[in-house]
Amino acid sequence: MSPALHLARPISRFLRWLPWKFAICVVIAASCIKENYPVSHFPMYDSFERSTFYLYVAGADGSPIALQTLTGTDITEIKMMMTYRFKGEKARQTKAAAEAKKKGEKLRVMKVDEFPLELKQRFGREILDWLVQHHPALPGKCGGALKLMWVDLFVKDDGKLERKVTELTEVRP
Amino acid sequence: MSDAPASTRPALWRRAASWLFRREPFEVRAWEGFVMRLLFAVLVLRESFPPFLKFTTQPKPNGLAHWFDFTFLGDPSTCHALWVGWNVALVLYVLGLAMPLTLGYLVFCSVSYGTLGNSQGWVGHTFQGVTLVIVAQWFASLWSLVRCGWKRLLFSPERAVRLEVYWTQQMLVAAYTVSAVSKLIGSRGRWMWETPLFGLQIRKSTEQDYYNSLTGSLTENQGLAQALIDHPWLARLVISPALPLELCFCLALLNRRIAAVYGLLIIFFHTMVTEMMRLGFAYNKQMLFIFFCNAPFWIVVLVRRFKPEFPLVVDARYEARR
Repeated sequence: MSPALHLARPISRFLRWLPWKFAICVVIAASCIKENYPVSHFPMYDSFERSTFYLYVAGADGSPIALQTLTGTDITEIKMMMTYRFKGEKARQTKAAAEAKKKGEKLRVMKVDEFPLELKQRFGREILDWLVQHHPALPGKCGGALKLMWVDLFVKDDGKLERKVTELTEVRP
Repeated sequence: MSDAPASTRPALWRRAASWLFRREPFEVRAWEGFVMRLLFAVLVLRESFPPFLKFTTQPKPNGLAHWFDFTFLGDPSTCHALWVGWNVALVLYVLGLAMPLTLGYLVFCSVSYGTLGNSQGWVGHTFQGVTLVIVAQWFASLWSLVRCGWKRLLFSPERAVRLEVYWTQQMLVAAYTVSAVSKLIGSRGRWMWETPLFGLQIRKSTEQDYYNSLTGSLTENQGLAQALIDHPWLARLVISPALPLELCFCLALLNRRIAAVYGLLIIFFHTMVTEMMRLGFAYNKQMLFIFFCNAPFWIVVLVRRFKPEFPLVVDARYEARR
C-alpha cells in the first residue's frame, strides 16, 4: 500500500467523524476573508483601550443636530467613515514604508493617534461633503453650515472617565 | 420511574450532564421547517430589503463590489422591482417552493444590498447575520438538490428542510465563534482581563445614541460606565462570560435541549448589552429565538403530552412514553 493511501484512510475516517463541518469551514473562511460582505470576522469590541473617540454633527452655531432623525444616517456610521479612512491611510503608509525599505530608506508608519490634524480635517470634510451630497437640504436646516465635532473619551490616571470636545472642521455649501 | 435499583443508577449530575450534552440529531419535521420559515420571513426577512435605496455610487468598494458594480440598486425603478420580487420570493420561501431558485434570488438581493451599503465608506453589520443565514440555507438547498436529484427542485423533501435548519444553526454558531476568535486575536488573549475598560465603550455608545436623536440624556448610564472601571472584578464577573459563551456556542448543536438553553442565554446576553449600550440586536435575537429556542416545537411537545391525538408529530425522542 502506498504511503499516500496509508494516510488517506485515517484522514477520511477523521473527516467522516468530524461534527459540524459546515460551521468549521465558515469559521476558517471568515477568519481569513475578514471584512468582505457577506463575510465578516465581526471584530467589534475585540479589544479595549484606555481612550477612544467618536464624532457628532453640529449646526452653524455649534449645537448638536439629531443626525439620525434628520437624515436616517446613524452617528456610528460617521465614526466608521473616519475609521475606514484611517485604515486606508495606514495601509498607504505601510505600503510606502515597504517600498522605501526596498530602496534602503527608512520610513516610519504613524500610529492613528499621531495622524496630523490637517489629515483628520481633510477626512472630516470628505465626510461632511458626503452628508451634504446625500442630504442637500440639511445645511439649510442647520443655519447654513455643518460642523464635525470630535469627542475624545479617556480614562484618567485616577480612573475617572473624561470627555473633551473639539471642533474638527466645517463645510458651508 | 426507572426499574433499576438506586445503587446501580448513575449519579444525578451524570444523568443531568448526559441529558444536556448528549449528541442527538435534530430530526426537524416538515411543519417545524414551515413554522421557522414563516417566523423568519415575517419577523426578519420582510424588513431586510428596502423598496428604495439612497446610494447611487460605491466610493469605497467592499467585498464583491471590488469585482461587480452594485449601483443598479440606486436606480429607483430597479430597486422597487427587486423589492416586489423579494416579497413574492418570501411567499415562495415560506411555502418551501423551488427553494434553490427562491433562496438564490433572496441571496442575490440581500448580498447586493449589503455590499452596496458597506461600500459607502463604513461597514455595518445589521443585516450581515440575516444574509449569512440565507446563504447557509441556499447552500443547503443546493446540496440537497445534488443529493436528491432535479426532480425535487420544486418540492423539497423533509431531509432537505432538516439540512437547511441544521446549516442555519451552524452558520449562526460560526458567526459567534468567529467573533470570539477575533476577540482573542485582537486583544492578544487579554479580552476577559481588560473588560473593566468596557465602561468606556458603554459611555461612548450611549453618548452616540443621544446625538442620533437628541432625546434622553447625554449622561445616561454614566454611573454604570464609571462603576465598571472603579470595580474591575465586578466588570470581569459581569462582562467576561460573553467570550466563553460565544466560543462554546457549538455546544448548542448537540441537541434540542441545550440549543434552547443556549439560545436563551445568548438572547439574555444581547438584551444586557442593549440595555447597557443602547445597541440593538433585534435580528440576532429573533434568529436565535426561531432557530435555537424553537418555541413552537416545545409547545407541541407539551400539547402532545396531554393530548396524544394532536395531529402534529414531533421528534420520536420527545414523544411521551406509553
